[in-house]
Amino acid sequence: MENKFAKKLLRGILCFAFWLLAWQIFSAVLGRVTVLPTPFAVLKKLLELLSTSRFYLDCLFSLGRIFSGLIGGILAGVLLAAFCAAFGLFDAVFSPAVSVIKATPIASIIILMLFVMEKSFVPMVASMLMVVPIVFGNVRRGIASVPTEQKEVADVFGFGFGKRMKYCILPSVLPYFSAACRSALGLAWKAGIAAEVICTPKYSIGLNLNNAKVYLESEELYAWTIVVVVMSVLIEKGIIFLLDKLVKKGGVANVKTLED
Amino acid sequence: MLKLLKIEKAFGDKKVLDGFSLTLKKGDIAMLYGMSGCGKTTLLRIAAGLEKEDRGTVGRNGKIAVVFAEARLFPTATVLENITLVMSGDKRKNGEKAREILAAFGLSEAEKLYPHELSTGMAARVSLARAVAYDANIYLMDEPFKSLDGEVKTVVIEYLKAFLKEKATLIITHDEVETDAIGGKVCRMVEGKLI
Repeated sequence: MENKFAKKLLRGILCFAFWLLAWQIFSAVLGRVTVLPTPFAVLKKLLELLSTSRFYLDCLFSLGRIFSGLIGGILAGVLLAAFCAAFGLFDAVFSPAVSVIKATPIASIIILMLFVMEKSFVPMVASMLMVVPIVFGNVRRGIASVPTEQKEVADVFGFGFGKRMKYCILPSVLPYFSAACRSALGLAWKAGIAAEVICTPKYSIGLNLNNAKVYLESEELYAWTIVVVVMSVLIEKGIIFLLDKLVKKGGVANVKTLED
Repeated sequence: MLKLLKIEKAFGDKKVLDGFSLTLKKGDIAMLYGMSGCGKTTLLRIAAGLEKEDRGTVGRNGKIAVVFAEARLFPTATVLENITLVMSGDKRKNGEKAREILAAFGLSEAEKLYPHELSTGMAARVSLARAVAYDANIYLMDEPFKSLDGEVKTVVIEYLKAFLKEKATLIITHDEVETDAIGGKVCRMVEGKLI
């Protein structure tokens, strides 16, 4: 067991070292620090950023905005899916609207939102609108996948809403919901950061990325990009851990890997 | 308690039930025979209200419990939960009653198991135990003993014989030994009619 872990760790370190070396070589060959700074320069900038309180404030605000959007999107997606599954008229009205949101490029959404709301809200709404169609689609599929046999048993034995939910609907929906959250998380994060870059709200990662671009601070641009990637990975791991707990609690042993 | 009058049902061009009539009163047990595909299960589904008849009248008076041909247990619930969840009222008393039924069906050791951990025969017994726990007035059973064998089958049939005395029961079967053991009225079904 330990041996396996050590091998995995060593392989990870070697892969990381390979890409770091490749970066260093490309940077040296190119010889233009504004286009591709050296890993060392980026690391130095990153440590500089980490030593300021503003860095944490910016990260916290970005996280807050994007997470609010993610949670809002999940709630809206689940509620919309439940209502559309229950009421045909609701489905006829809202399903096309969700399809339109899904097909609209994120940049268009962000720019449109800038016309109608205060710019610091745009990243949150952009993240939310990215999440809604994914959660909606997956939860709808989960509801549709409830076995007819189980629905009939529930009908025959007169199950109320609670029992129906616990024993018929949730076990079928949870794997789909979990898969939706996994996909939505990455998209919400990317859309949120993209919206911040366009809207440049005060206290945001996006504002720092934009400033770094404008002032040709490529070390800072790379450092902030690394921050975005690391935060994305950490949040994803955390959310997946929580989702696995939720699915297990829901009584579903195997989480299906479903992609929207 | 259960009255089926001139029931007709077709799936596309195929007429499955063609004027089927049957009345079951309290204490009646009807054992329904017939070739595969002659409409027995469709009839049971119509009697249970799971399928709509094209023509005819269905009259039900009281709670209905169905034992399906497959066990149809809820995979996320234990054996005990699968039984108690059809019961209403006091949880503790329900648990006690469910354990009594499980013991009668030889399933005491299985109460904490999940459906995927059961054999087909055990799952069939849990399905029967669930129906018994529901304490309905009308029982509709689709080949309830087909996965049971030997002594277990005898024990279950003996229990049900006593239990169904006050109920109206329709059992689909292919086995004459079961019919003799239960002691129900034999009904033969040919081409969607009772003969």
